[in-house]
Amino acid sequence: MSRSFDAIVVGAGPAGSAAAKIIARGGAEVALLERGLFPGAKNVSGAALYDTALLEKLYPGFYREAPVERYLTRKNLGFITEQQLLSIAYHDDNKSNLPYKGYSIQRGRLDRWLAQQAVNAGAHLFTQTLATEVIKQNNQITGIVLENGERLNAPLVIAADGANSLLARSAGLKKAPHAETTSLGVKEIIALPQKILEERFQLKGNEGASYEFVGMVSGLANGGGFLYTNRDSISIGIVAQLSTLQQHGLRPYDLLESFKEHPAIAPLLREGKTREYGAHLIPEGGFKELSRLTAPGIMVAGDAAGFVMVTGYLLLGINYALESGMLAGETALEALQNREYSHSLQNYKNKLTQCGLLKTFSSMRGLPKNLVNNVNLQNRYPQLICDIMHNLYNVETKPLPKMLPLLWRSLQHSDIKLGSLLLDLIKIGGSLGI
Amino acid sequence: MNVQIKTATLLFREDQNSHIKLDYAACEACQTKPCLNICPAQMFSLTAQGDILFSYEGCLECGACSIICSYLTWYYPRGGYGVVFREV
Repeated sequence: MSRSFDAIVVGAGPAGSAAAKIIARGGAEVALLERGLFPGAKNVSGAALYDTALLEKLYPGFYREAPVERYLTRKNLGFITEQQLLSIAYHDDNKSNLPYKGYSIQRGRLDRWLAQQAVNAGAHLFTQTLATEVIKQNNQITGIVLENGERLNAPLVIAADGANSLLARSAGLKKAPHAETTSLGVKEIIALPQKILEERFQLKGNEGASYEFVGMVSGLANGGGFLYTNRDSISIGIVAQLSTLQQHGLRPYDLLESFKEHPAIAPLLREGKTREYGAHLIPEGGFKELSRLTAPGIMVAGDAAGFVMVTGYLLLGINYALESGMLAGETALEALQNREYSHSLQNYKNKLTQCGLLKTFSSMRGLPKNLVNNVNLQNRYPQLICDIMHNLYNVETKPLPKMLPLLWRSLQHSDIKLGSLLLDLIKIGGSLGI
Repeated sequence: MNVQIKTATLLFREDQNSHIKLDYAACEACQTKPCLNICPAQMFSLTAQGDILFSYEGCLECGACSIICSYLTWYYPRGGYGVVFREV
């Protein structure tokens, strides 16, 4: 048995639903396939969602209509050790400046809404439908095969099937993920009465707070932690590089437990009840590990392509998924108009370049090596920074130490060499564009 | 809170067949057995005899095991089966 469409989008996450919406809105027949019980059923993120300009462009009125949890007015960057936490808090009351600049979200709610927007535009959504491989004829992808053997034909396929993207791999566009460039995220959603949550995090109305943590959160493994306030729950989790988790024999859920029990974190979770647990892979390889983005008849978008950016203070992915999905959708429409499904797909890459997305990844190409893989940054610097704070407030030292000697003594007490500190400053600074 | 309590918060639609296949001869020869630690649902454990004991029913489908072990065969469960993250 076989059916035909103008385009087939595999995966009804943010990338796939954005692509399907654009294609359907252009009047083409598009199938949107989702292996889960419903869109979002297999998806796990922190999650914070940024780039409201893009959201409003793709979904006018997003800030009023989309099922977001809270808009983020408080952003916190934390350096954390076993007993200490230095938190840099940034508060931006941007209510008067609509649309909001970022949201906390839950994937189950958001992904269903995003898929519904595609359906409203005319896309055909098939849930509980697993695509197993692409159909290839004379080097051109012409459809996909479902697990029951049914063939769906289309001149265009968009692989938006997430971090593992078995479809992009079956099409030969992507290598199997690697332990050095892939992190594992585990999280819990902890329910907390809305009133308590708002008092505890000093939030008014729909305001929300986000926290990113560097330091012991991921033990000796490279990684970090996050905490986001939802409407009546907290999303808390850790992210750790697979290779160093393996190297140190660490268990992800144990790390999450120690993080939750940290003296500075535990009070934030008090009286909370774990509502749900989740885990997901994160492709963190950046520019060098991006998949091939196109081949005749196919484009790759979102996590499947590797569009995830980790800077330490930001964890970005959903916005790039939406943007790449949108651009793949636009490219598909143009290809359908011109009835040319090979060379014209290069436009997808051109669009990704023009909007600045690929430039972001190419200019930050050093981050995975210099930031994610930097052992000093992962644990020793947070320790040093917290020790400096400790010495700063230690008034028992007489005479009260001056700043420079205090910094010098803190550095000497750490096992960090001045030379490697300077080198890291150059490397990390260079990668982040300081 | 142990991991069994964590995964008990989730909904699973169990399939009859495992979507992950192990090569038990390779497991026996494997010195490090990284799957024991890396799996966020602790689906891999050891029997009293030191053999790998594996169950797929509580799998979160993250794919971590397929990256750290080159001997197991990993695919998604059939459409509609496996873990359901509700997040609502």
